[in-house]
Amino acid sequence: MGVVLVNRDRGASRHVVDAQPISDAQPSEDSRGEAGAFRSHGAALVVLAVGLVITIGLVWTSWTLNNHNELRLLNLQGQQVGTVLAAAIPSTQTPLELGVELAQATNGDVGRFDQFASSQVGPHGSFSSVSLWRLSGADVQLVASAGASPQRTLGSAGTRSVIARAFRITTFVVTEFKGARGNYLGFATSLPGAGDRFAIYAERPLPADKRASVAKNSAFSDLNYAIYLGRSVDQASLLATDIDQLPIDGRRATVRVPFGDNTLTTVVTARSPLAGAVTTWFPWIFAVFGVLLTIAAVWITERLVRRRRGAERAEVETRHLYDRLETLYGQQRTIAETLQKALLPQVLPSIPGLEVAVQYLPGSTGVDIGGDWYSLVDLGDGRFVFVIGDVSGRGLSAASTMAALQFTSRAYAMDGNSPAEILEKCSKQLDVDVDGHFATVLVGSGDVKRHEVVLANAGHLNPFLIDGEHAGFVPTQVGVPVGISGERYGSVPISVPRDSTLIAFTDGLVERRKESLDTGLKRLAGAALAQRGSSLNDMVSQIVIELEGDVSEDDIAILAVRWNE
Amino acid sequence: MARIEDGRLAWAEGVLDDAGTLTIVLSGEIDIASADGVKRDMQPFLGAAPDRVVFDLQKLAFMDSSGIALLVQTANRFEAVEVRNPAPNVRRILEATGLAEKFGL
Repeated sequence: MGVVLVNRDRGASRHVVDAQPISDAQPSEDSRGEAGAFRSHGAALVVLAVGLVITIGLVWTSWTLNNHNELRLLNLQGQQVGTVLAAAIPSTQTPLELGVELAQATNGDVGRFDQFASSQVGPHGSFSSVSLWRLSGADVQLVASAGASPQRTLGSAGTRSVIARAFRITTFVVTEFKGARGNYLGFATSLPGAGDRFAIYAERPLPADKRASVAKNSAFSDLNYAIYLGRSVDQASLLATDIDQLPIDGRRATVRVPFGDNTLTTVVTARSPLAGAVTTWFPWIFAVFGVLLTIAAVWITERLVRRRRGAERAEVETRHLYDRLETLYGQQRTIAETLQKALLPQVLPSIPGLEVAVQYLPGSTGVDIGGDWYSLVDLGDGRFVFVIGDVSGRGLSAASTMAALQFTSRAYAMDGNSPAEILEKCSKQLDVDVDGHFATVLVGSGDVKRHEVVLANAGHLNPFLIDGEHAGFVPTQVGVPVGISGERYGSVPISVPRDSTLIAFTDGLVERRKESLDTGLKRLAGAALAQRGSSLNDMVSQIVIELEGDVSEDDIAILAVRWNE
Repeated sequence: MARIEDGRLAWAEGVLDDAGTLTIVLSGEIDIASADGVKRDMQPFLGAAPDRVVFDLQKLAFMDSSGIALLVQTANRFEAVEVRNPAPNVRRILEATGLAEKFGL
């Protein structure tokens, strides 16, 4: 629509011409500063936090579980070690007790002792020296000795106290001492008995470097160990170990096994992860995957948030567009209606002796205006011409056709043409093939004093006449609508006595889609007759009220004249 | 039928016989909204240059000025245009607009 037409409404023209670019309408969120930055990345930060928390949780859990598992397995292995050691003790204890039993049975026979001792000492024996003692009274007496020379002086007080202790306690005595050639373990055992009591004392060297490697498949094979004599784990008590770095710290298990009247304390630690290398890697695996997944999740979240933002923005823009559209639409309809009103005569001439009433209702379809019109021309002297017409279709082209016909018919009327001539001349101006429209037109030329009207009809509905005696639709000679072809039109004169009312109208008043035309015409007749006593204006208003359908797509135009004299 | 599915209110179908008579069957309700579609439907048939055109209106439930314009425009292109089997309300419209005689009713 040309902006030119909008001169009347300055506000609207400004709106139409200076269209605001939509992107200026709302500021982008990113430009709102730090608070905005957090808000715009909030979801991603939350995902990041959650991901990190989960990752840390998984890492910690798997690490702790792994730890517990390793410790548990170490403890189990440690106990196995303890069992093995405990099982090995009899190999020391039993032969010595056998020796005591033998001595008791032979009453300390030296020869028998030597025989016994020879199997215990020497390259295949487990002791470096063995000696037999007898308890006499409160004193201990050496009976015999075999093997290498004992590292502990047999006659010494220390030795004697060891032997005496052996007689006193029920289990065997274990001591450790430093001899000339290194460290030694000393064992002394005795047995209860009725006769003379005997005790055996034996010595075993400890390896100088305190190293003892273990068989591949033994209980020790996965472990590093350190065995101490006594309950404490200090260097002085160390018996044997297979590692350099002592004391063992970190993950370790400590097993205590009774060893005679002493204790063997073994500390073990794992050589490699007991539960297998894979489980040690779990925390790392979780860490790496957790971080990667978290990063991926953050990235995806960002993308999704961005996309949603974009969609929201698009939605807002769309809504704005729709609002603009509605506004423009409303404006266009206002323009159309304004145009329509402008084309219809606002002021009708007043003709003495003639009462005139008109009404126009635009159809309710959208923004397109229709092509109905009426006009009244005063020729002076009580003579007049009225025209009522209906151009087919809607929209600007129908409206401009209507304008052309209206003005043309008025000009011909003022020129003194008869109704039929007016129709014929107008018909020459319009061609449905060219203009795409035709028009139904009713022209009447009236004379107030002579009480006469001459009607010519181009496809229009016959007008309704109420004249004192009868009321009915005037039977005119219906020609083809204007713009169809160049046919002639006939005229029909009617007489209109005083107080007669002639009502001309367009089909929007009487046509309903589901009804026949005659139903509408009857309705009009009824409404008009019901109002015969009213003023012409009231009659016309009432007719329109009664006949106006709920939704009328078509325009309604009605023009009524009444002879007052 | 395809028409019902695509929601159109009116359409035209045509049959051209050996004698050069084109029979156009108009269906539905022709108003300003549906008139263009009907016009498009008619083009290929009218383009076949028939000798006479007959409009069969028995399936036409309603017609307003846009339908009349269609009939008239066709009548202006082809000398002999007839209208047959109009429903009572359609016939009434044609009579009221003075076109009944023109279309042989």
